[in-house]
Amino acid sequence: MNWLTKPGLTFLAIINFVFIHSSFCQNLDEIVRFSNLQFDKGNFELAANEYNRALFFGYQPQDQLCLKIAKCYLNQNNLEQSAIFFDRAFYSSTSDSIKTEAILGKSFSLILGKDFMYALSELINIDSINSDEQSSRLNFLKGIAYFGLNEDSLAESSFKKCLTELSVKNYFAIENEFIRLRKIDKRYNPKTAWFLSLIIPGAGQLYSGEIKDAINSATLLGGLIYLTVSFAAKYSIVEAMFIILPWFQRYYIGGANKAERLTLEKQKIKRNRHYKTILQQIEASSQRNYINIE
Amino acid sequence: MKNILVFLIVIMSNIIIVNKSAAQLSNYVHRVDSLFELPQKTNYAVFAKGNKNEIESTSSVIFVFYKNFISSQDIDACVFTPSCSVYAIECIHHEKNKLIAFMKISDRVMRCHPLVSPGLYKIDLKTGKNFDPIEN
Repeated sequence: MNWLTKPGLTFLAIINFVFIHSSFCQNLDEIVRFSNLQFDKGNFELAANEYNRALFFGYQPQDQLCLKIAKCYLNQNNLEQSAIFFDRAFYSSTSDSIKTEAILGKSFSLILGKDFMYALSELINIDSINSDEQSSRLNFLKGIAYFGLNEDSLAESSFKKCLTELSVKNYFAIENEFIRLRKIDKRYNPKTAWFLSLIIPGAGQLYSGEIKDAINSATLLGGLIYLTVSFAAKYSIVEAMFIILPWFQRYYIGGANKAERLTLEKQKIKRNRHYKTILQQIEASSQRNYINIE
Repeated sequence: MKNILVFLIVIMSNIIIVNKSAAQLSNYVHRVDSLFELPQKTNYAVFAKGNKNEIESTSSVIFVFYKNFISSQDIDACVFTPSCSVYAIECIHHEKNKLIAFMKISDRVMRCHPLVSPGLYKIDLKTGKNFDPIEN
């Protein structure tokens, strides 16, 4: 105990005192500032973890933090968690602007998860719009939700509402796209394809433009019919029916179902093409607005 | 002078707001761009790769032909995922003893019927069918 003399103790006490007062402790503001930095850099996983830490230790205002966490999850494609935190932001906020932002965010997550009906029910519940930008986003999301539910006329009016009066050209371009979409729905009718395949095997596939599948179906069923007839001629009709008919029935119904599926796929592919053109028009319009005003 | 200053401030704020709005909407547009794209079709030739002997090569040819020309026109009758044909080709490729592979395939085909007891297998959430891979 020689080294622990009185001057030594005094020295240690001074050092301790200086260190305690000059040491830096990370507080909640620091955590949030760090998270914001990570968010801006695009490190959403780290940002979400740090925001969650701040939330756990009671950082206020909670609504903005929840909104940030939800956006982090949205950027990570964790749609379920994102929707949960947008919901939390909505219920913990008293500001109309943040509430609207939370609903828009939640609906966007739901739309990305292809839950269009739920997204639409959320969007319809929005009762206060605080800016043109929010209104534009609301109509855009409504348009996509209606489009996903195949409600084309409602989707058209919502998409048109995203555009301002400056973009007349885009307005008519969108209108034309929807006219073409309605034609596609008439041209590629899955029920018609199914029915055609029942009348003549392979006709439904031909109707949807799948020639290879049409030949395949017709050959397969033609072969089974030939087998039934030759079996019936060689043995008896009853035996032919018992042995070949179950197979025939499988491929007959299967062919019709495939024709229906192929037509639906074709319809979706064509709809997707027009959907992309509509998005391009909306994007071009929003960009042009900026250029015009500038 | 004061009026000009106010006018400039209004114009500048408009530019900032619209610019932000365009960027936000553009962000949204990019995220939903591929929302209605169809998933890629399964290329069954992938299952038939890496054949080590004649049995595997022959099975692969039969499998690809069956999948493309016969099964494609059939109703969705198999109660398992992966389907019996995929199970069979995977079994042939993974099992060294082909006799055991044949027995496993026979067992699987016999188990594939609509009266499978509920709860016997895990349900694949994607297809809603009984999950029964070759590892089981």
